[in-house]
Amino acid sequence: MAEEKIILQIDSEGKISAQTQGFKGEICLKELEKLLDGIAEIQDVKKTDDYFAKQTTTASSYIQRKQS
Amino acid sequence: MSCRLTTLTPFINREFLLKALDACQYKYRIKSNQIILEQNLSIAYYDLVFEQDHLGKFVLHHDSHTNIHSLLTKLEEQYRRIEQEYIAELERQRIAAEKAQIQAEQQRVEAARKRAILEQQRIEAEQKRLAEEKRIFVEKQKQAIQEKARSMGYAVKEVSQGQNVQLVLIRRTY
Repeated sequence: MAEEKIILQIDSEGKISAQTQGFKGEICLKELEKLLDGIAEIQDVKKTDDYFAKQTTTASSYIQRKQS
Repeated sequence: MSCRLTTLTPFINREFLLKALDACQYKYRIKSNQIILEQNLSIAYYDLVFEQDHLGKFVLHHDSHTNIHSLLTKLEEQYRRIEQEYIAELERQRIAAEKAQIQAEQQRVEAARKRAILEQQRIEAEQKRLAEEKRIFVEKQKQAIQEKARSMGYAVKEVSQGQNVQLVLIRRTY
């Protein structure tokens, strides 16, 4: 049984930082985009080395909502 | 041999002099620059007349036969009293004006202080409004994420971190 985890930090200004754990490949980014669609505007994405390890390892992404 | 004398208080103020004459109940009439007493002094051959001399004081002209000592003494007493009362009244008015000025200044300061307090309250209210606006937004945003996450099959755990909020979304796959 695998565990997919998304950790979001929301600061007092409403800015969001998100990090994924346990996703395989680029699914993590798709998942974050789906989660935040209509809620926050993605400003920046940093892909970790794990991101490129397709379907085999954990990928993490860092997403920030563009500050209004 | 030595001597000592005193002079009459110079009557330099026409208004005080007239009031002093009134106070002494000496009747008079005014003719041009002259104040003519209508005092019934039996041995006076000529009218008793006050007239300003070259220094500006009112001098009583009379013939040498007339005893005017008691008249002038009484007049001087009233003149001094009236002058002192007037000076005292002026001082009273000056103090009242000074108090009014201080009070006005205090009121001005107080008004400025009240304006500053109102401005401070306005700014603080605006700060609170902005903070509340953000707080409400963040809360709505958090709730939206939580609902969306649950709809995507995540279990949601909320952790408060000071002013920040951490949401931990966990989904188990098989």
